[in-house]
Order: sequence, then C-alpha cells, then structure tokens
Amino acid sequence: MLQVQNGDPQAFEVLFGRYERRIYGFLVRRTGDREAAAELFQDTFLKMYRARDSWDGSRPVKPWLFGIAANAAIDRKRRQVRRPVAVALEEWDGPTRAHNEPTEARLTLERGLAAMPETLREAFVLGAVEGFDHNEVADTLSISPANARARISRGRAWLRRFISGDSP
Amino acid sequence: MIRPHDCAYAEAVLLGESPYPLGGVADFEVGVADCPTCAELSEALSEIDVLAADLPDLIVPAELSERTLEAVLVEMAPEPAVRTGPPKRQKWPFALLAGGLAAAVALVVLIPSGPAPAPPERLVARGSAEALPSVALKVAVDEGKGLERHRRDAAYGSGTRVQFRVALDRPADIALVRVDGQSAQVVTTATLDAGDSDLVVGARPLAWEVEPGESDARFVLLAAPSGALPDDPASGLSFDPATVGEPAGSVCAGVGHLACDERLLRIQP
Repeated sequence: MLQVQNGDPQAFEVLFGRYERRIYGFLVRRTGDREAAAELFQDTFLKMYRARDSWDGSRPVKPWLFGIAANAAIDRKRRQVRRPVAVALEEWDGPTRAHNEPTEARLTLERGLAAMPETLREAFVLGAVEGFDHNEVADTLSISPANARARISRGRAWLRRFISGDSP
Repeated sequence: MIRPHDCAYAEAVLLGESPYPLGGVADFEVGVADCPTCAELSEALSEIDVLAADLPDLIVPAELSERTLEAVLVEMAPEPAVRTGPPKRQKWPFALLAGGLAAAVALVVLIPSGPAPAPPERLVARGSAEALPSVALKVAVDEGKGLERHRRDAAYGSGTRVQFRVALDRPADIALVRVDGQSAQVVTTATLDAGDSDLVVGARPLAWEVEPGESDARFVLLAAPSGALPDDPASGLSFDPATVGEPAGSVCAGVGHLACDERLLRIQP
C-alpha cells in the first residue's frame, strides 16, 4: 500500500488483484444488485486511489478498503433509487423458482441476506461471509467491536428465523 | 460457568440482544456448551455461519475488472508535460468533420426511401417452426404493507412496487416490456424453465417502483422458444398511445408469432 501511495502502478495492480473479487462479492451482497455493485466497484477503487494519502500506515488495508466500499454503497443509496429494483422476497402465493438454482439452502440464505435490514446485513456479510473478525468489522464500519459483534449476532438470529419460516 | 438461571441471559447474548460479559467470553462459551438449551441454540446459529462461509466467491466480470483497473491506472499516469512551444496545427478535427459529412451523404444515398415501417407482425420468432409456449403474466403489488395481488380495478400511487411472476408450459426466452402512452421499454429479459418463475435481479425479485408523475402502463410479457426472441423486443411492438391506459386496449392483440400476455397497471392521477 505504501508503494501505491507513492503512485506505483504495479503495486496497485497487485492490490487490485488481491481484493477485487472480495470487494465485488461484498458489494453484490450488500446491494443485492449486480449493476449497482459494478458501478460501486469502480467507484471504490478510484476512491481508494484518490484517498491513498488518508491511509494510516499503522492500520491494515483490508478494513480501510472495505470501509470505502461500504461508504460508497451508502452514498449511492442516498443519491438514487434505480428502476427496476431488487426487493426483499415477500410471500407470494406459492414456492419460488430461481434460474440458476444452486442449492435450496444457499438460495434461501441469499434471499434472507437480501431481505435483511441493511445495518445487520452489512456487518453479517463482512463477519460471516468475508470472515472478518469483530474488530475488523468494527474498524470497517466505524463502530465499536461490541456493536459489531451484536450486529453480526442479530443478523445471524434474523437469518435463522427467516430460514425457519418465522417472521424475522 | 453459566448456571441454569443464566440461560435466558445466554440466549439473549447469542441472539445479539445483550452484550457479551465483559472479559469473560471464553468462560461464557464454556458455559453455553454445558447448558443443553443454549448449546442447541448456539449450534443452530453456527449452522448459519457455516452456510454463509460456504457462499461462493462471485466472479468479477472481466470487462468490469479491466475497465476499473484501466480507470485507476489512467489516474496514476503522470500528467503530460506542459508544451512550451507553439501548438501544432491540428488537422484532425477538419478531417473528422469532412469524414463525417461524407459518411452522412453516403448514408442518405444508401438508405432507400421504402419500404414503409414494418407492421406489428414483424415480431416474428426467429427461424423456428416450434410451437409457441403458453404464457401467463402474474403481477403483485406492494404499497408498503406487504405484497398483495394486483387488482385490475385499482389505481396505485407512487412508491408502489410491482413484482412479476411468469407461468410457462415449456422453457422459453421471455422479455418483459413496459408500454405507456409514449414508449415501449424492455424491463428485463430472461430464459425461464417451465412452471412458475419470479422475475429476478440476481437472487432477488425484480420490482418496478412507481414514481411520481408516472402514467398508466401495460406490462407486456413476450415469450418465444429458446433463441427465437427478437433482439429488440420493444421496437416491434405496435400500440395505440390513446388506448394503452384503457381497460379495453391491448398490445398483445398486435403481436404476431410470439406468445404474449399483458397486465394494465393503473396509476393514481
């Protein structure tokens, strides 16, 4: 990252290669919208480069970078609602089919993630899907570790109720 | 160690409703393991984590990856040196202008005056004698109180979200087109299996959100055997703008050789 701060393109390519898939996955699951995620993906790396001087060398890069992605998603939501939009799955009059059905459990989990309140989803995706520990989640979202742990736990409990068919 | 009477507290902690005991996380977890009720809850929650951790990595589309990398590398490139001498003559704008004019003249020459615009029957499934699928479009609306069935006699306000379900008797390519008094716009296209399928964006249901000032519109579902849907399904639709919002109006009536179903969405003035 220090080399990126110094404007080294090769260092940036290495950093980009290391994080691109994880940032993209986070944004797709954070927004539930691949088109929006693609837009935010580019924004994130551009903002990261433009804000390179604000990176504190004593901090790890990962939460800083994911924090930029999380903030970009919040900013975008404030700016606009695109049409058509993806919404939480509500009760239809029967079971739902998906096109690329992986496993029912995974699909249900993805649906649950999409329907989960945003503050819980953000923390849960970072903690349970991306494997961040509580301190990293806290660092990324600028909240306390106790708050991060609580949001992840509440997200987990929310998903359990969703999967079991109870009203979350 | 959690005593039996701490079970409620332990459950609240596991559900994120109470904070972890200060400085005693390890002891707390041992206590949970020793308490059958808490252990059962803890195990059920752990299964969620296992499932979440097992979600597949999402592949970044190559085009997006390249575009993003290039955008940043362009920013990283050093600024070009400031020119101190006299500017070079720039011939290219004139060449471009001349080229553009020549191309425009060529187009005028090459485009024949006829034939007249194609009739609606031009929406013909491409190169397939295969029987058309049978299709039905179902619509549900959410006015902020949860999904309900769409009522044909109701008018909906801005903020209403409309979701779509398609019933097919065989696999097919489909296009959902929104037609109002001014234009036809493809909302989404998909390849669906036989049976009922919700239209989705990624893994989530697709919804049309009614915006202030929006007019009555018809959502038209076109379906054809795989690979037989026209490239631009909206461009061939023929409709009378004056009757699009009328219950008796129909867009499907003008569609030939494609399966079609439609629903009128009336909007509050």
